[in-house]
Amino acid sequence: MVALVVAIQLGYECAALNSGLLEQKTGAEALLRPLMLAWFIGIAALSAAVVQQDAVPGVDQDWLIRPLNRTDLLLAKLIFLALTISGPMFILNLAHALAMGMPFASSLAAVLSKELFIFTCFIIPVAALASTTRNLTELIILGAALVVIFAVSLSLSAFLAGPEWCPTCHTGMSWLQHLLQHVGTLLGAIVILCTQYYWRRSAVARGLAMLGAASLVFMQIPWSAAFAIERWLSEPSGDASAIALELGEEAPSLNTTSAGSLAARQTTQLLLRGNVDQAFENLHRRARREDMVVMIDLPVHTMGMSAAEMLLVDRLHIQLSSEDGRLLYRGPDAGPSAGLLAADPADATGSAHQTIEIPGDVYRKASATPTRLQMDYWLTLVKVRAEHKIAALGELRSPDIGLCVTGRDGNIIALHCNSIKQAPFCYSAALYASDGRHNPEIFKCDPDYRRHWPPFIDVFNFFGLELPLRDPYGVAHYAIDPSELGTSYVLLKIYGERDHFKRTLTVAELQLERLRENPR
Amino acid sequence: MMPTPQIVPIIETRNLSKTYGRFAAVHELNISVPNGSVFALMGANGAGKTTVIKILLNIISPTRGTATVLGAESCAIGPAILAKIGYVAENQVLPLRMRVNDFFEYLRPCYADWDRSLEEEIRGQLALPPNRKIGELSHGMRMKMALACALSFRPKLLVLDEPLSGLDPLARDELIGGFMHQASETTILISSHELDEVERFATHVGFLHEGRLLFQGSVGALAEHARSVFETEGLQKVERPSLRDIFVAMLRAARKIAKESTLQ
Repeated sequence: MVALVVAIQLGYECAALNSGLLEQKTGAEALLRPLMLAWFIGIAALSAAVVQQDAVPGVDQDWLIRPLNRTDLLLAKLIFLALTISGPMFILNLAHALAMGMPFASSLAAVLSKELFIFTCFIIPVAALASTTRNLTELIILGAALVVIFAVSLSLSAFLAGPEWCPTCHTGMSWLQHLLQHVGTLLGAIVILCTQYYWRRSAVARGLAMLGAASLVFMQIPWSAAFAIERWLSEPSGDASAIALELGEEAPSLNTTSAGSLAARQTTQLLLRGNVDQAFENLHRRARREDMVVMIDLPVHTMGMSAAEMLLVDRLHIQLSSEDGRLLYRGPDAGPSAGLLAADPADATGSAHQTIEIPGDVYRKASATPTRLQMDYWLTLVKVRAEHKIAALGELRSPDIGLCVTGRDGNIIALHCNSIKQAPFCYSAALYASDGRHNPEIFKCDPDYRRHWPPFIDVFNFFGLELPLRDPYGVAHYAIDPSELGTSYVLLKIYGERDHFKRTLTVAELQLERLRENPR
Repeated sequence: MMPTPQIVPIIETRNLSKTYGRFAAVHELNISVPNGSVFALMGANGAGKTTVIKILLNIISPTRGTATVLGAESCAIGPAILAKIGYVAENQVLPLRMRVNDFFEYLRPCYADWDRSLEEEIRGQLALPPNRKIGELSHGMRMKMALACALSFRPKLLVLDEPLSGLDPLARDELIGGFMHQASETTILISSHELDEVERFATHVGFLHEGRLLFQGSVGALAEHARSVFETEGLQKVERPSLRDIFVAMLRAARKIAKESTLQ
């Protein structure tokens, strides 16, 4: 079984090495997914088999009457798993990283952290669950029960708390929640292993596992705490002190739409992007609103930012109150448009549009009277921290970003990077001619403020962009002709976080019925 | 001729009870196994013999009461005490994929007092096939192998839980010969419902019925006790009643008492 798991690992690494960074080698590529699945099943089965060799539940096992130190027995099993799973994986991953030309020190650090992560967050929890069962069949049944408990807890949590069920989900601070979940899983696994090996209370251990599955959903870090931790960790640069938000001069507009159609449209978009849990949450959230949703479009002006900076909205909280201070509506989000407040650093005006949503019933009650709108922004300032020039049809090796390859793929220039370090969460790229002319700059920002988080499956972190080169429909015309690619280059800008801060924007008097309709 | 057992108990229980829900598997049990004795814990199937043994070896915890084994509380029995206890049970789950030789090799380092020459002697005596997988052995052969493992480190206490069940007469004789070979050096606690077999070697007897102790004492004291039971029950006196006769008589007496107390 050990040999089989090592063979699967070897197969996976070979397929990954041969799959190519830019040009897709479909044979190797097609093998990656089944091999990855087989690898997961293999290491889970091996971990379970090692633990169940001396099953804990039951009273007739031979090992129970042998003079074995329980700590020694447990450690022996964990060391065996480390040697047979983590050991070969370490060697293969390191060889893969070095074969890709990555620096030794960075590769060693990345591979070590990955193996430690898999050992503590996968192998130990599987071993803990295996210790509560006698054989693989029992383990599968317990695993299925835990999945059901997790799914029911997730639905229940989304139903009871709405979008607030996971305040940090889909934000740059989600890593804190993941860290909490992983630490919780590891601690739970340790408690279960101790319960089993020192007290042999299988029913209690199984109960703890089930409680743990539900806790993974219900134990959430409140947003304010997550933001405070992130702020504390990021050592503020002070760059954000000059940044202010104010309402732009353009008049706000509104759009009324039915909750059902909006829900369907947004849910479809989320599903197409593969965000199943977010789609479920959105559908549930919208479905509870019985009638229409009013979307208010507000011009927001950002001041105090340089051209090399961008502003990310981590969260927007809106509060609508009446003239006499009575709260009419409080909402945790601003709908789908929250994300990037100042999307284009080249736009010197610093203008952006902020869309907020108000339920139809609130709108009807408040539309005739003046209201006060307060928007609390939790923001992150990001700034260009590095720039890399890559030949339009070439490659670049850099200790900062790893290996980047560019190439033409029909009407686009594809930029694919493969880093042994953590991939940047915010970056942009544009195709430049040697004389400085350039095609539009393409941005990609997916806020993720983790300091370091080891990759779970692959030791590499991939990132990239597709840059327009030619419009096949002839509508858009770009500055650089495809014939110039030989002398052109791609300018890749990597953004790094500078400050996390909060700003409040208040619209002192907003009469909703006077807003002009802006049908979409 | 059996050596005279010493008075010091090697196993002692005080009001030991084990309940599963409302079912009492063992009830207020007080037994004392003298050092050097061959103590037969007897009773019908379901009398609570195995439960008592599992408690004594710290495999399960008692609901109430205490037990001491080799001077240690049963709940605190660890590797140091287990290294002095040999154990053979009918239902013992052995590592079936291991070969006999490998199993002995695996066990040797676990016991500081493992006697390699004794191991060879017992293995030869019981004719254990060294290269067969444990899973391929017959039940009798497995019991013999378990006994060889239990005797090779010269245990202070040998616990045998229904070791004779399901064995043919020849295998029984070989097994009994195996553990009686070391009876002079060790205390043996054997649970069984094979009354006729046990009668051949037991020095002390404890009768369990539905988790309660009906009698415990030496075989000599049992004969005295038997007389009074026979008289109480109005049975015909037998010159040398067998364990079976005595047990049946005690069982009847116990049932009669239970019936009377229910009627009252």
